[in-house]
Amino acid sequence: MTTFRGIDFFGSGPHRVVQGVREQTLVPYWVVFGQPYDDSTGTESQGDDDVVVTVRGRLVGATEADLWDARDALMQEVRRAVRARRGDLVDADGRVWADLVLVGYAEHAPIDRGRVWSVGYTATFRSDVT
Amino acid sequence: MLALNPRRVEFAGDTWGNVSSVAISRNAETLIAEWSDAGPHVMLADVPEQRVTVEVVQSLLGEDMDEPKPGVMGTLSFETGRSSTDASTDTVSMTAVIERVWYEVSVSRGSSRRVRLLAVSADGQADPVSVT
Repeated sequence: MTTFRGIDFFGSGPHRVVQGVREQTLVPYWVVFGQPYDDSTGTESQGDDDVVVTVRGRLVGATEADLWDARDALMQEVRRAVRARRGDLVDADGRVWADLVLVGYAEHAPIDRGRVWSVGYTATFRSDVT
Repeated sequence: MLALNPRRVEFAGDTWGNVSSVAISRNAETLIAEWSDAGPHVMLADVPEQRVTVEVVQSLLGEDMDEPKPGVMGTLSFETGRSSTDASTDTVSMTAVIERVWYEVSVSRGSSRRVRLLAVSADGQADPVSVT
């Protein structure tokens, strides 16, 4: 079970956790020194970029109301104050991404109504959000 | 669903004679298949969009100069049963739109007119095909 802040936001349906790009922020020397000069080729590292982790999957409900409950929980989490919503993301294998914030929730397409109610989504988490 | 030699085939108020078969096919227009991080197999499969099509085959004894036209919507109905005296006759009906009309001409099998229709649900939720 994948959890964020100990809450099972994604358990209604299958989902996958994706580690985003990990890289350093590189700034050209000419930007660092203010203006281009003859020896200004190269870049300077400004440190690690934010950690970005996404959860992609499908929220599922037996009824429309069940599906709305799952969607509302994620949308409310995005709207809450940063300090209150900072927490650990733990995937089904126990891997922990510490101190993240849920900064985005996007649905891929309209709700699907077949045997069950469902909608595909991407939830985006980032570190170092203040 | 397949009906062979159905009786009293009507569409939009017209009677279609010499119908040798009515075949109702159901296809997934959209198929949801979702996997998880747990393993290689599909965890969720669903069909939120499906298409019910009907193909009516009529034997033709001569020329056909008044063919049905694509886009026409009406009620398609027919009766099933092993014989005209069969008490267990069912009536199948649906609202449908003509999608395609074409002909097959064969020396051995004769000529036939084929009409493909797309069944339409009244509210998007109810099955467009009813059997009474």
